[in-house]
Amino acid sequence: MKFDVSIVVSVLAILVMFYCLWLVLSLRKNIPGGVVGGTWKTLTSLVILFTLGYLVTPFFGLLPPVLTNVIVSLIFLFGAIYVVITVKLIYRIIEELAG
Amino acid sequence: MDPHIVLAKTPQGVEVLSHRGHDLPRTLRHALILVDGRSTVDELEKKGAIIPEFLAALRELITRGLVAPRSAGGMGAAKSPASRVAASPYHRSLLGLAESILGERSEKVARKIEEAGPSREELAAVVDACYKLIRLTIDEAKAEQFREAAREALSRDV
Repeated sequence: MKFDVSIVVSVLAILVMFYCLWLVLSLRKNIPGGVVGGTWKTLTSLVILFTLGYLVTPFFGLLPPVLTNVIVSLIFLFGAIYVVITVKLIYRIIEELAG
Repeated sequence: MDPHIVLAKTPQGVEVLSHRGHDLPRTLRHALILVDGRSTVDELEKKGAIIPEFLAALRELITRGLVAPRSAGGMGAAKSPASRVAASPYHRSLLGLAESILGERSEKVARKIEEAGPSREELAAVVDACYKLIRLTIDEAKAEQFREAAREALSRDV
């Protein structure tokens, strides 16, 4: 059987994303609202989206290249949005704590 | 204010009612009489419909430490955050405010208040810390409401 590094990396990525999904969902009850709570809901939605996107990655070989490219570019786009939201949230928390 | 919480008179509240000469505005006195330790805020609001600004009066009574929330259906004020610690009237007043404004989400804030030292400076610092905690994790509008009421409570002489 041929060893495929990309499959191994994809499976690892999916496992990490599931751990992330468990974290955001289990921590949500501790942050019902406020500055963090509002953003947390958006981050949770993005993590769910990433988990679904990541689950497709092992099957990229079976999909038409056009569809694969669209999925990858969407994951990149939402990944960038996730980073922006996280950076802004961290900055707001620092502002609140310093103020 | 959480309409489901049950309010009860504190020992101070009972004391104030038993002395007619106490400096308590008539509206607050009437509102205090209605607080029976069994009715929820919602029920009290119906009973006190004739009293102008009744909810504001209840809030004022909590701020003054004359009334404190207790767990609905519970056997006594011992379960209420407002009565867990009797470190000072200020503590009781702040715990009552936290419970009335935040309801079931007041646990972390109540813990912070309980751990605060007895001086006004320490309590003022804890109010600021609670404000940040509420603002970040519970509700921004309630954070403002809590800070305003807590500062007013700390500015009073008890």
